[in-house]
Amino acid sequence: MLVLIGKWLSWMFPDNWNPIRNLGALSFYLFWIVTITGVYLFIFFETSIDGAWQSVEKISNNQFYVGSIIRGLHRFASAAMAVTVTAHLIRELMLKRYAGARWFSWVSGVPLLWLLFASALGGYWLVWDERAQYIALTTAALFDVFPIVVEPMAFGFVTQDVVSDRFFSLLIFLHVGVPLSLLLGMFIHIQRINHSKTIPAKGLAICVLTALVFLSVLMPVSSMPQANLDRTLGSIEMDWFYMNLFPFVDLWGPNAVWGILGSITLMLTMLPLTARRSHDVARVDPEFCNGCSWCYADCPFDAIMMKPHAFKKNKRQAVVIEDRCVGCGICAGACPSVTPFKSVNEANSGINLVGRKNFDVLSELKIKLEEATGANKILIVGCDYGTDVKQFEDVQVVTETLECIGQLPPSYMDYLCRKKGVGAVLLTGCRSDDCYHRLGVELQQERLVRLREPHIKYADVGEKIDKLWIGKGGEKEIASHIKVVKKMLQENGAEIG
Amino acid sequence: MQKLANTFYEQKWPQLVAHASFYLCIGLFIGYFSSSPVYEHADSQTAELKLVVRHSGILVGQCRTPGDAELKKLPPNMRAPEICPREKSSMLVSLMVNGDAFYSGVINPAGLHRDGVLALYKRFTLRAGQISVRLVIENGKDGIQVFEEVIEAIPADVLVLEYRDAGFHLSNAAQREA
Repeated sequence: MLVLIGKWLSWMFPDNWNPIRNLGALSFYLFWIVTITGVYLFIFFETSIDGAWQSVEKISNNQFYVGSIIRGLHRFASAAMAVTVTAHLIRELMLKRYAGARWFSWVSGVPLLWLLFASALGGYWLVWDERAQYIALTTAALFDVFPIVVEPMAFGFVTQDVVSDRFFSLLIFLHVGVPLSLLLGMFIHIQRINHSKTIPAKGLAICVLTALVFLSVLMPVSSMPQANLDRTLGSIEMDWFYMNLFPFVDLWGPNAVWGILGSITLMLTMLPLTARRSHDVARVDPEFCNGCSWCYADCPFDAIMMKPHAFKKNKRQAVVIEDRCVGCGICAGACPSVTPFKSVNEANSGINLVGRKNFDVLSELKIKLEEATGANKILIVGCDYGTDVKQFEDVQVVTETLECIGQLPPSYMDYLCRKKGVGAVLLTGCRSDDCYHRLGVELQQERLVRLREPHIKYADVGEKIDKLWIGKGGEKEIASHIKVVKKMLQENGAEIG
Repeated sequence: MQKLANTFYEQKWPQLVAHASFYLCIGLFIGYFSSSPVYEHADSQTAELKLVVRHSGILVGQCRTPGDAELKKLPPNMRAPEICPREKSSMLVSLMVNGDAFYSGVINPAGLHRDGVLALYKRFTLRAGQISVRLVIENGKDGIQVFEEVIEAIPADVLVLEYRDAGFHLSNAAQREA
């Protein structure tokens, strides 16, 4: 089912425009929309008991669409952020991206949920309408269960004359301070992520902004009647994205709601402990590390550091932080020392996976290619998280599966095409913007088009390589691709263009 | 080789329609659930009673005059003519509305040494109309104090029944506005 939805979304959206695969970047983007529109709203906002509601009404009604659209963007981008953040969490959970080296991003993401809700609800208080009154009274009920509070917070909302103008100055302070903490938390959240994507593709960003502007025009945001603590509340227009737990405070009481929130927080925080698994790690051989730092630049999880070389004067070498290493092998694919064209021992390399060295992969491929009897051999390389390519093996087709497609050094393709009679190469694996190890597909693409070191050396080899970034369930596409390639090879002889 | 790239300019109209429909659906989803469906917090024929108790508390023990020897042991700035215990007594609160028991409980002084204020806040939903309130407070050495009053509550009215150091006070919205 999920594979089908994934395929449908990939069909619908151009590459890198799929919102489902850019939820983190979209959340950052929406945060900035909320921030910029918030600055505009703040200029016209009055921090007083009577001025607050009136100033917000003026922004909506007296600024010829501008204020109303900005207010709409502020509100709807904030609601959209709740959607993207929740979807981001669910997606990472379903893909089990919370354990191993990813634990830090997962755990640091949990308090961000609290900060996001606090930021959004703080904004509702500022409007000081009946919705704000409901939020104020319910929040007070929630906090008043803690015995550390000397006087109930609800004392601040007993009657209309209890609330003062200074209260709104405090609210503004909180509504600026909490989102700033959220931003700091978001910054920490991506610290263990190399080349983190915090800006969505231009097309996706334009689509989202356009949708939000349309929404702001079609469904203008309005306030409820001004808050009056001397009157009870009737019907409340709820923002179900942020106020979804509030009715349960009325229904079950604040203790039950704290119980639910505390349990969810605890479960999410502890989740990485439940999924510890052993995996391969990369290791540096200082003797063959030339300090080029390509592995350092490519590591998706910041698991490689550069430091002065252990015994070569004025040289640097890579060092692997094993706790952060996920064993993707992208570093080994980036290491120039693995090239099979060298005259010295082929097995020597600066960095490699401990369990499955690139040299072993090459040796296996050489044997398989020698065993293959068909002319114009086809090499298919896949990854553990994409479609299983082993099923396509035949007399002409040789396959290999790696932990990540980024583990394959471009020099291997040069070598196998030039020296071992490979007529066509097909690289397949995760979807282009959904690599399990984050950057494998992207980096390999750049290596193939010579935008990144190490890259394909021979132009004719580059022309023999094709890519199918289709993730799991791509058997049909791969089979039809092989059929086409076989036909072309038959027609054109050894050359493919 | 087979062309596999998928860019915006290569999209066919069914993809563009699906693309636009996706944003339309998400937009409507966000727009609708940002303010709907409404939540009925209270019946329009009801009123609310807020019970507010805030008292500085009554000391449990007696103050005593220290002897000269005891005073000499103390630093000069702490030589007070009387030494008083810090602990305050708990307060028993019971509320009856229209003859029905609404609340009964003990309020303890705040703080680890039980030397803080005594505070309580409770909200009750009532049917609007004439409401008779009886609040009984048992506050340490002050003994039992009883407050009884009948008040009119219109629909959506907020009645505030307070017990503070100054005594009892019951008001409806109209009285407060006046």
